Amino acid sequence: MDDSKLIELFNARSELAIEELIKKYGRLCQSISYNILANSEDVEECLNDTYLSIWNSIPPANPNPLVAYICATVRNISLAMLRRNTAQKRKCEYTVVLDELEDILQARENVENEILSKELSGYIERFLDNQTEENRCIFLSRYYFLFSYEAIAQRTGLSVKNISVRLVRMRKALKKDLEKRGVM
Amino acid sequence: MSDERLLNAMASLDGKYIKECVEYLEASRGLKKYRHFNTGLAVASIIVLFFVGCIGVKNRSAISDFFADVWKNRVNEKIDYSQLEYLDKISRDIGLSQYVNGVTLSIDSAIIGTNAAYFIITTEGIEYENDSYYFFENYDALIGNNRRGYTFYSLNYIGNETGVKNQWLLKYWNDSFRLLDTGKLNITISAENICRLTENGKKESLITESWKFEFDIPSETTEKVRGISDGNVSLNNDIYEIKLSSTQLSFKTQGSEQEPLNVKISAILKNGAIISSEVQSTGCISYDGKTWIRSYVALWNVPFDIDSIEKIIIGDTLIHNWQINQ
Repeated sequence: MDDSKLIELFNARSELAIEELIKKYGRLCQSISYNILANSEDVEECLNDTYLSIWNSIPPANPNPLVAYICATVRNISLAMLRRNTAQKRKCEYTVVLDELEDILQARENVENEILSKELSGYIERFLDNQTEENRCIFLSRYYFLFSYEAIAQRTGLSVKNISVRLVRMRKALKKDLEKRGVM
Repeated sequence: MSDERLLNAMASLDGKYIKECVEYLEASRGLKKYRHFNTGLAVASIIVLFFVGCIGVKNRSAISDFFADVWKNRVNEKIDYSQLEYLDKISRDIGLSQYVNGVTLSIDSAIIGTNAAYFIITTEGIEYENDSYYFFENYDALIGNNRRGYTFYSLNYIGNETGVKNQWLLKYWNDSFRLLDTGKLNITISAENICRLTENGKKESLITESWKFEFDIPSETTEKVRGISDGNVSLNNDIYEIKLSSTQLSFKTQGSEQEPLNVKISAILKNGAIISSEVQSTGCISYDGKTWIRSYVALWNVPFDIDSIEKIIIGDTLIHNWQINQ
């Protein structure tokens, strides 16, 4: 079922919408949430919240592309739960990714120096525009979807070593880019 | 706390990037790309493999591969080569197959421990879909022709590595029957009706057939088994007769009719990896005329070489590697 048909089902308040949404994107949502939480029970709870949130927001929302909206919803709900659970200090892909990115932007205490997240997104988008499609997808797989190196290698058909080298190069390039723009 | 701004900024990226990535990953899924093919390296590898084959090194079995994955997922570390070699050493090739109505069910390989046994079972000939979960409607397993004590067995779908064979893990465990005590092990495994669980949780019956295997394998001990020295060591007085093997840890408690112990058990290896106990029996209880005795068996979440242990923790009891009898 294509996304426009799926949105039509949501607009018609048909319960089939959720069923079809799970059929088409359930696995993707599960992967994103599990990469962040690394706990099946929490993932299940997050997925339920995600589907409910999408059900409540469409309509009036008419997201395009729908897949990005779904990914953002499940990612945000999972991150919110992770923050609630930080006391449990679970080892998950999110904490590993944070460590990787630590070098690019050092934590700053001065609030005035904080740049807006939107502005930073713009810089990242321009950086991504200069990458090949394959590299863009590898970068997003790691830092948006939080897939492990092995999972990215499996999905792209490249070796883990290759993925690792490409990500190191892209992180360095992004760091340089941000330095040039005075973000660092 | 690390800086989260970059990851937060990623959340605000234009949806076109996310869509592109999802579509790209979907499109390339299952495609095998051959890049940077190094002919020299490939020839060298073939020569090395040839010589490795000639000196009789055992091929990697499916059960070793399975536990190497478990190691990565549950121990959170890539398995050491020495541990992988050890898994190969204790695994047994079974190699039995039955072809029924277009589907071949095979018992590929096994690891038989003191009280637990693991079998890799494969099926060929059923349609495979990447995102589906497959299961048997009924199955049974019996080792040693008896069901003394508490017997647990499960047959779970692992996935499909090759695109052709579906893989399953049969886990069998009995808390009081020591599988390796007899001269040979008589094993019966049966399974019937393969079903598929769809994304929305519905059951779809694929094959209505049954497969049954009855076979013997020698019950020689392949896993390492050690005792723990309880003289001159600071073991908790309530815990004694500790026995350690590659698949489990067993011990006894005595002195009261207390509730069964419910403690965490971990083995910390020399490289820092932590192996935990996955199943702990509630304890068989007996009375020797003077006191109550409870026997416990705890299975490790992955079989491993116990010579690499640095220490073992049973609740608040600490056992150092020098207390393990060689």
